[in-house]
Amino acid sequence: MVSIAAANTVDNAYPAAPASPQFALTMRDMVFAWGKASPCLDVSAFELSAREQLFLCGPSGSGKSTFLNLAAGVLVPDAGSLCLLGEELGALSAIRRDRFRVDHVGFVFQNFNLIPWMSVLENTLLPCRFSRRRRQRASRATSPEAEAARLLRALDLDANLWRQQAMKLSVGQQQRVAAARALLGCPEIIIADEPTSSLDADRQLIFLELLQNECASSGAALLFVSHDERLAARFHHSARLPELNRVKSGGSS
Amino acid sequence: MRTLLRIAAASAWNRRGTLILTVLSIALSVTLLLGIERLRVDAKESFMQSVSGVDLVVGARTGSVQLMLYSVFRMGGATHDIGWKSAQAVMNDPAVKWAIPFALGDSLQGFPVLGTTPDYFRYFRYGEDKALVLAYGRPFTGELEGLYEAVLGAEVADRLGLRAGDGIVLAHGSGENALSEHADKPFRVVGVLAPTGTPVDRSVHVSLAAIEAIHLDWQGGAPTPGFSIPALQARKFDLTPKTVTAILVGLKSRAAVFQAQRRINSYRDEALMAVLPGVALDELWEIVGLAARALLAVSILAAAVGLAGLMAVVLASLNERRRELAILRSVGASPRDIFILLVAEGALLTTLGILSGLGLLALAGVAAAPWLEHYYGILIKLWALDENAIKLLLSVWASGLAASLLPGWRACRMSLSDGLQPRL
Ligand SMILES: Nc1ncnc2c1ncn2[C@@H]1O[C@H](COP(=O)(O)OP(=O)(O)OP(=O)(O)O)[C@@H](O)[C@H]1O
Ligand SMILES: [Mg+2]
Repeated sequence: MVSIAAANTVDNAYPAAPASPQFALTMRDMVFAWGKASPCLDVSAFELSAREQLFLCGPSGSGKSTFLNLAAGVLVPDAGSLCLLGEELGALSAIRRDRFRVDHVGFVFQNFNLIPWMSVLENTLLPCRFSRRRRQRASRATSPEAEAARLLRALDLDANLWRQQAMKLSVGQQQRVAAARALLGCPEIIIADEPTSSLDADRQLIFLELLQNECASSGAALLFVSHDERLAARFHHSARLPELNRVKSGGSS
Repeated sequence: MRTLLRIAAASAWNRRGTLILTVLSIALSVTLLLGIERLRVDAKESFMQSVSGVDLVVGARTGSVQLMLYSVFRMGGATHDIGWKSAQAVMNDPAVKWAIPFALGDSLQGFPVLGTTPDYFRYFRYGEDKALVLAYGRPFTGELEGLYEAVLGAEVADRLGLRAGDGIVLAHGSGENALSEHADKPFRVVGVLAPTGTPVDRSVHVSLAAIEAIHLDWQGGAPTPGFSIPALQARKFDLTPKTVTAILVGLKSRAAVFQAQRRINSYRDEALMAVLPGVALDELWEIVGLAARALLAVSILAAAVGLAGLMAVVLASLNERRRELAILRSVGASPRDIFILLVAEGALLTTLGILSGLGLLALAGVAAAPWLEHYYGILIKLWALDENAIKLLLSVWASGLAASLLPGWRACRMSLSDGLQPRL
């Protein structure tokens, strides 16, 4: 796996922010099993540099979502090391991990990204409601609302949609709102779990390009997961989970 | 925290259809609970104030509850009367300010007839020191001139459709077992009392002398065969009563009540009994109030059902909210936040339920108060939330909160096992 150790320009005003980590995410001999079952993941080494955009693919059931839940600190490895932005997540308390996640990670999922009864703008602003750091970073230039508006516009969402309830949007529009939300407040890493799977081929590419551009301009690393290997062509770097994973049993195509 | 509460409120608003029903069911149980408690307290108070200002009730020696039953509530019959001489002795006791003797035993279509003196209208008190008021007409005079005059309680006049000037015939014996009528000596209604909500409403009042007059030609509970004294003739006889059933006594000084009681109880010529009406009414309420307590127990059950409904609704909505909770988790809400979200919803619903329950209660009170007072003499105090009611409310609130702990705990477990995406 290649990584570009780009010059790190992340603002460190917030005390909990790790000091200019070179890597967004690293794993060493990380093992995870669901409950008492045999291990699902066993990764000897994985690195995602700051600002790197990585495509991770694997067949259904190969453990991609599990991998992302681990990366985000929702699940904790049973053995080995997992560092997010230089912070060993397993060593943090559950509460600290929750805080750390919202401060530094943005998510986009395959579907069900938005709270249906909230307006588009409110949905976008959610991370700022739960994280002071994201709020501060979002208001560096102007205000969180203005920053949200800027992102929504950059992701090609019409201003007359912003006050609408999220459930009234098309799936493609919803995915773009989710991307805007993930990017708001400049988290250091964006984790996307099959965000394009419910879009048609044209929209997939448009969405991916918008997401990549915004990640690049905000300086966030992007961990993009999909089972659709054709998308790999759009990334400089890609990896296959079955190759990373020493557990060979799981996974069926 | 404020964010969470705002989200909780907005989310609840989004599901308002179901939640309003839950709030309504809590509101109804609160109304029922507090309404019945209120009614219980006020009914007891009204019951305790069936007589007021009476220091002692004197009668023949029976149980005190029995004495109250027939003297105050005019129910059942006295097993023993007291002689007029003993009654005079009680009434002339130096400590006595006023005394109302009365004789029971006759009836008018099931309503008890009370032979008494005009003092009854002057001294009798009920409720919070309220005197009897005539709706119209006048009291009977108590003199020979108006011997066969009757004053009706409000309910008697209402139910029998009687008005001043109407003639009535009394029956011998009480209640439904009244056998023979005093048809030879009809009475004339001269007045009707305003409603009091006490047993007075169910009584027919005549003078003691009239009771004596209609029984002149009677012996052992039946007309003496072959002997009768016409109504007008009766006035020529000595109409001093031979016996009375009970005497309501007001003392000059309340402090003397125990002394007076002891004096009456130890009266030598006849076995008399004097009871303090408050104490006896308390004893009687122990029996009568059982129904009220049973009702309260039922309404507590109703409240429990309402809260179980709350728990069921919040639990049932968890599945439909799975997505929402997982999304909140992914944007930074901790399991603790999710827990607070759910408990806040429970608290919100319970609070709204209690408030609308209180509103409903006030409405029901406003609607029912005049009716309750008129027919049952129960004075409902609308805004009086006594200590008991507040305790009930607090326990409803606490139970509501407790009922939302389980959904809260479930949600927080769910949000952990779901990871960042809901598993459907
Ligand atoms: N909550 C869970 N509890 C127990 N086992 C789970 C849980 N979630 C996933 N697994 C197991 O972990 C394995 C990997 O699942 P995962 O969801 O990570 O696959 P995936 O690669 O994301 O698949 P897909 O492309 O279909 O989303 C599966 O065998 C699944 O049975
Ligand atoms: Mg998956």
